[in-house]
Amino acid sequence: MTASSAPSTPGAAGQPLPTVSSVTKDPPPAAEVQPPDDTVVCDRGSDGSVGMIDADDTCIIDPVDQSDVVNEPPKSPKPQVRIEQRCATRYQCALPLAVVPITLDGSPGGVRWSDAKSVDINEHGLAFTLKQTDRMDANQLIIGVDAAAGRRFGVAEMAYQKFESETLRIGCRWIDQQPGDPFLARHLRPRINGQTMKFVYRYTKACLSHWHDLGVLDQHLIDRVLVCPSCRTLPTWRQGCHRCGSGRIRQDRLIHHFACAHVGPAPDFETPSGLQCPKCRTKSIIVGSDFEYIVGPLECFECDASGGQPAMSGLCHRCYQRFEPEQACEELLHAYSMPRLNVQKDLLQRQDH
Amino acid sequence: MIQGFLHWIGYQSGEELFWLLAPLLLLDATRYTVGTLLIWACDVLDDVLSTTSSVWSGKPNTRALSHQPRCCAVVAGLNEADSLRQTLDSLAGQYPNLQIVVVDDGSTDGMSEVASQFARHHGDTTVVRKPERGGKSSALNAALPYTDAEILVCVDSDSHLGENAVWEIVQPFTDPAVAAVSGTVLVRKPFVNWLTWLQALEYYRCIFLGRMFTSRLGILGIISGAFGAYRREALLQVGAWDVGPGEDGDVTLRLRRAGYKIEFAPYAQCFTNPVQKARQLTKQRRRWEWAVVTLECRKHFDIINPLQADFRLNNAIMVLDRWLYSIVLQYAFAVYMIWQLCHLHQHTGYQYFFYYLVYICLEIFQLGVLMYYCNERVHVLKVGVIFPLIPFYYLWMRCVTLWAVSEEFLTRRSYRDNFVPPRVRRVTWHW
Repeated sequence: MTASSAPSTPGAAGQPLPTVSSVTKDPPPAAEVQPPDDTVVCDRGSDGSVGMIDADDTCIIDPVDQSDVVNEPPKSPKPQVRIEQRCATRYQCALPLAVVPITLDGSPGGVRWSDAKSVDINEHGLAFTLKQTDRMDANQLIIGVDAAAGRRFGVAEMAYQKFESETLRIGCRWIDQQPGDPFLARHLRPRINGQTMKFVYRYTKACLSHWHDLGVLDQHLIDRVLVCPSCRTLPTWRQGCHRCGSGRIRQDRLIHHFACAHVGPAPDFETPSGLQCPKCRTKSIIVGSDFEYIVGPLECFECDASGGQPAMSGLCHRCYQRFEPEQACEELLHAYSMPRLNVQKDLLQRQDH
Repeated sequence: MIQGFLHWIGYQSGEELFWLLAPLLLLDATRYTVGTLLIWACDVLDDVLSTTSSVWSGKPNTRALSHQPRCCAVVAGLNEADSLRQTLDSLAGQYPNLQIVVVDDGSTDGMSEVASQFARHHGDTTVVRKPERGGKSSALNAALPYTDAEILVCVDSDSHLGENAVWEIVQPFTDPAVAAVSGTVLVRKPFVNWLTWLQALEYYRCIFLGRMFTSRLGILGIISGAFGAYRREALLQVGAWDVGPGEDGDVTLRLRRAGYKIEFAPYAQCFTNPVQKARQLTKQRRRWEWAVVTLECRKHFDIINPLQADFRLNNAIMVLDRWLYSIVLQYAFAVYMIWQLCHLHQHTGYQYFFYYLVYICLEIFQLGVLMYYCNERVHVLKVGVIFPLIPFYYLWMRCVTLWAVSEEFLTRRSYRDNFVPPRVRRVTWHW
């Protein structure tokens, strides 16, 4: 992402644009062909039914206008009847926007720039103009801006795109943190695939790296996990046999009698009248104050080894290899996050000031 | 000054010199000198006779390490992860089918992990891990359920064994009456500082030569905790180790009372790390000396009672010897010193210088005997170079002994010592 290197736009400051509703509701305009940039912008959805902003605060455009979205620039303005209902105030953005289309596989398309004068924005959506004559083949966009708090990004869903002379005008609605947001936090964290027992992301690592290289996603180390040295899948761990690693082990219980320092198998202390030290014959000894239990060395049912203390051992359930923690490979797990654009705070309040 | 001293000594008559030297009898150096002189004379004679007979008969005069009982090395320690590996490596391959039991007495430095790592590659190794520190006695006892070997060889986890040490220490067990054998404990790195150097010479003199002497007399009363071997059957018979401090001396006395013999194997050598600071050394020696009160004066006081069923003359002599040299002569020496301070005269300095010279001569003689017995003579000679300082070192040790014996008599200090964890010493018997 090269938004920071973009030439800063001197405060082409947007004065709050009058709400469309106040202009158009009473009485509604009879017709409007192409509104100028510094006046009312009429936005609509690409399907003609959903605008870039929800129905209660967006414009509603005659379905006839849909042809403009997909085709070449209009040849001759044709008077149309428009009914606009816009409740939110729209502002002209003071900063240029970086626009990155999200391709179908989630990877970034090329970075485009919209100059500051061409952008109208509010907390529900935005419209901007790009100097290009071809369509943008993407449904979702990343909108980047160098806000006061730093570089910030928002996710927008494209509502329409239409050509205006040499430029392409695009209308979008913000979908940050909404179900359609492709960069929700849960999509950017690794999760275990139960089939392969590996950590996976929703997107490929190459794709995430690409976004990271562009500066859209920040990378954070969230964990270091030990994986199978052969196939790099997640193993299971157990305190197992020190020699073969099996969890099928048995350990005897000993008793240490404090007073006489005798240590022997727990059954040797058991008498019908309770626990009694076989060395000093002390009766009714109490755990904690008179004696303690000691776990003896292990006996392995799998390799018949005995004598050691249990050691941590891993078992890969894919290639069935057993290994010690020191032999396991360490894999770094990263999560990604996007510094989110807060339209109200980063842009609109800034405009007000 | 030298001329004045020579003048003074020249004017002393024989009788006066005898009375001047009499206080040296208060020092155990004299006893050891006489003892080493005797055993050295016997051994020289024996060597001459055996060499003559071998030449006469044509058979080689060699000592065979023929006895090969089943052995288990017990290594008990606390927070010795750093030195344990070297100890275990020195044990591996020492002896055929040597079983090793490592007991981790509640270490927090990963000692049991080091042992388990070793066990992974060495077949007959058992690792017992205690959840909390319980004291050395319980750590040693924890090894007993995991071995059925005839002989248990106990090695400190910060020590390593010399060549053929296990072979040497098991040889006295050919006699079925022998229940325990003490090995020689020597200093691993003598030249770290002057204190370790002095200890190295002391270990040679008191352990190597001193125990050779007491063993020949049949009054050896201690098996070194750092390196000793026990017959398992005898050990179980007497109930193995009791709560310390002084647990190694205690088990030795109980074995003796049970009628067993205690032997010394001078060439079964173990090298240990000496303490490096004066304060630590004082603490260590106080701990050692408390045992003479807790064991010989309290717990096993009745060992001198001829009416006891287990009375044996050599045991009684052993205890009397300990009383004499560790208690009576200590106080007598202190009284003598105080008396000397109260009766200072113009030749007191010469008198002490005379004592010093005589003591040095005794040390040189012992060093010579040491050279006769030791295989590494160059090393012994290097260690022995510090002998001019050894009288001052022993004077310090006498003060420490006096302090330790007094505080144990008066305050039972050993039962407040941290050598045994509080939860254990709170419930154990206070003799």
